[in-house]
Amino acid sequence: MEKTVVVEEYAKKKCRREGTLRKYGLALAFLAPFILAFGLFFLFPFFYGLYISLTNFKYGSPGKEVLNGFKWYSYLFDPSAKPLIYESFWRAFLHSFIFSLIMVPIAILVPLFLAILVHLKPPGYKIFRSLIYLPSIVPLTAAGTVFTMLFLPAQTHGLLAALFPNLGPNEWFIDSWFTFNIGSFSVDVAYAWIPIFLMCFWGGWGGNFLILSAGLENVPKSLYEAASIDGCNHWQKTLHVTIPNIKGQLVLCLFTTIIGYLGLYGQNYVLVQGGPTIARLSSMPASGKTSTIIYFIQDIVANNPNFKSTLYGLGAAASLVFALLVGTVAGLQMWLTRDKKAGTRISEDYQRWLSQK
Amino acid sequence: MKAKKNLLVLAGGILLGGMALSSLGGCSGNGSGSIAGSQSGASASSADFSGLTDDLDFDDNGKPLFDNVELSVWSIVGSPDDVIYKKLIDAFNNEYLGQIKLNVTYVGNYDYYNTLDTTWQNDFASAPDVCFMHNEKTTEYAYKGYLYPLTEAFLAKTQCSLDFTQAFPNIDRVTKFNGVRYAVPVDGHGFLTQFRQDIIKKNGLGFDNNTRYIPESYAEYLTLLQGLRAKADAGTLSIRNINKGQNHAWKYATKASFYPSFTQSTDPDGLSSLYANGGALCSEDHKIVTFQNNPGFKSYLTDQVNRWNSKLIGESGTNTELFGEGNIAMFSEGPWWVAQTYDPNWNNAELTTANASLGVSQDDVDNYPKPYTASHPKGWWTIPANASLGTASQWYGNGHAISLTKHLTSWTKAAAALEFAKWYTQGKNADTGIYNLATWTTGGHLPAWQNVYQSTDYQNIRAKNMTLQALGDPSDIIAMEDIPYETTVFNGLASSCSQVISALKSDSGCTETAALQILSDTAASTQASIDLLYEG
Repeated sequence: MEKTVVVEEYAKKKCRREGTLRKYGLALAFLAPFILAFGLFFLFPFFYGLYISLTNFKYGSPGKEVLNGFKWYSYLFDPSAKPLIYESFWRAFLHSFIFSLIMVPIAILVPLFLAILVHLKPPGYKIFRSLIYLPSIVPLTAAGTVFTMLFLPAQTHGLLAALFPNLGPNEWFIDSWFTFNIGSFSVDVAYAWIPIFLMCFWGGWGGNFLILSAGLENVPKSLYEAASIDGCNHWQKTLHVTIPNIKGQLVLCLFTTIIGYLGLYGQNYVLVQGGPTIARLSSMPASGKTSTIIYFIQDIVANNPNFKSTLYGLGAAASLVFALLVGTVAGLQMWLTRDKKAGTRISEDYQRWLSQK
Repeated sequence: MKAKKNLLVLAGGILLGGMALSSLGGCSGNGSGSIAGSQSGASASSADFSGLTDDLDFDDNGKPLFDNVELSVWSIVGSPDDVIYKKLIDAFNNEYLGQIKLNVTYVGNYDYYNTLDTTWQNDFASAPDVCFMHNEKTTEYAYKGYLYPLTEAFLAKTQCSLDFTQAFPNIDRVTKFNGVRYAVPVDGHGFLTQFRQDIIKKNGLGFDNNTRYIPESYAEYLTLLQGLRAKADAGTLSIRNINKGQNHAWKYATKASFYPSFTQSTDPDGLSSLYANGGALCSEDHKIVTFQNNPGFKSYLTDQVNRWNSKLIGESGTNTELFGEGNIAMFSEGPWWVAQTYDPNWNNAELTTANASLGVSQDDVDNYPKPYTASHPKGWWTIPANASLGTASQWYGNGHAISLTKHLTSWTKAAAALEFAKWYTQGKNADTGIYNLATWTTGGHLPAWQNVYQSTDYQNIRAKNMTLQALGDPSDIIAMEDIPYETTVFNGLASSCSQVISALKSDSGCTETAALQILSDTAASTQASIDLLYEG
């Protein structure tokens, strides 16, 4: 039996196929490397991690694991299942979260202030610009050595202790500053957070400063001129012209800074190895008073060979919970800083202003 | 809209393809398949030799034949011991030229065990055939299934005639797991305490009418510490600087800058206190942490707070300087440092000739020519109630051992590895007739074999070697128990010590109650960790 093909229909189909290929082929060719990398290095690990978190996966023998339901998640969310794991995880979570809460505004506002100052182009501003960015190129380990030497106790010739004998505690890396309660948790704030904070602040401002400086360069001068004609002072210009015009850069800085500090690890590691130790958690992952959530994961999947061999699923579960947290915070931030459609608000404001005149 | 859908389908296809490829890649990560051990416990596969090809040939005398057998050996021996170690390896390779060749890779102390795990699990082809490592790691790797059990059948198959009754049982115990041998013991060693015997003598704080300067019991040790502290506080403690080129005249110590003793690390002494007082890290089934219950270890911890004081504790890194200056009367350090670094400096020739410009009087030459000596702990941590225990004068020491890994693929290789272990521990140098192990001990290790220890070769070496004299008799050493999760349990004990020291250093200080609370908390945490690991 012969199949009847309508020539017109065939031509249309062929034309549509070729058109689609012509239209999207090039785009796909350009996107393919990214899609491949995204799949290989994000989606695949993500789903594989999800799978691991539901099994008794052993690092040394992949493929032999069996499903164990939500056992690892129960350790993280049920305080009665494994009380010490629960405590160490949520303590580490609190450390990351509270530190980010304090650090992020400072890590944005100070570079913004400096960028605005430098943008005024005072004499020698190029030198200031370089000096401000300089800490960012110092390797973490080198900066860690400098900050360690600064905060060592007097017996081991700590620089600050030698210069200011009565400043702070004798043992910055051991002593506790104060404690406070969050629910049933008593959070013991170690003095070690101060060197960590300073190291993060000093080493981190350069990146945001650079992004914000670049943004400031692109603010149209005509807007400043218009603002001057309208009688705006420096502060008003900054508030109503500069800030709205670098919103994109600010959002970018906010986004990367939040994610960066929620994932805090390096500074804590090089300065105090996550310590000082909390005795009741000393053999748990993230057992220190400055251990963060990444520390918890890292202790399981890398630092402790016994944990690595047996508790990989717990590490995967903690990673996914952490990813969820970061995703939520980042999503919330994106939502709060989204571009809102102004509608007729601007013209209404203008009308109101005009009538007041 | 349809184009978007097509795009999504295409992207999804690429993703799935990538994931499938990655899955394949992931599966091939451990090429060892069933050969590589798993965390199932040693008992499950302890006598499984199926990974070894039966290719062993024997000569007319029944000895294995080796034809250019190459073995990959990972060694943890670093500087300064590596000089002697390399000499011995070269000697072995020369002696067995054309038969066995050892390819030795040195892996640093801090990297060895992590690297071994990572290599075993991810790059099995590069894993070693033979591990020359700390003896207390044997159980951990036996439990992980990395090591061959050296059962009688295994030894018989390779015609290896090692007589393990010659090994010191107190050191040998750590090379067995649940009664099965997994390694050949090599040596034993531990931290030594350095003494300024000139200061002790000058101040009349010695024992037996000021003729003995090393304490031999808990009571004597405390008396010495307290005596030094009291005199320093009163400003009547005579000290002198013995560093080469310095003025060696006697002067009074300053209260604020003098430390009676200086503990480099409390972990080994803590474990000594546990074992000397009849304690154990874990129960016999390895599952219950018990170190926190031992009165001797508790006493060791509370002593840090009560009997001694914060002036006892200094920072590591400055202790050698302070010791030479006379601001510390004793401190602990690894044995290899003693002979190779400090002996020529602190017992230097300037102190044996009267020299007014250097502040050395004839009295100093006559009475204090050798200011420096060293000793292992001699019942210093044994509480009076346990003084009659058989372990009362013993002290904790680790050591090295040679183990055969499941990376070995044939019986010929296994026999060659055992030949090396036998040569190293029981063999003699072809030219000098000296035990190879006796040569190895010159670096500061006690032989783990009784026949070597009793040999004239060793005793001659010992007579000239202060480190070996200070280390004493190998039968006084207690090696660690066989614990599958040795790292976790030992770290628990070590952590309790370091946390008490940290608390002492802090502005708020530490009390006896706080020290015991730290111990209790740390032990509970260690137990929780062990439970997790067994459950996992």
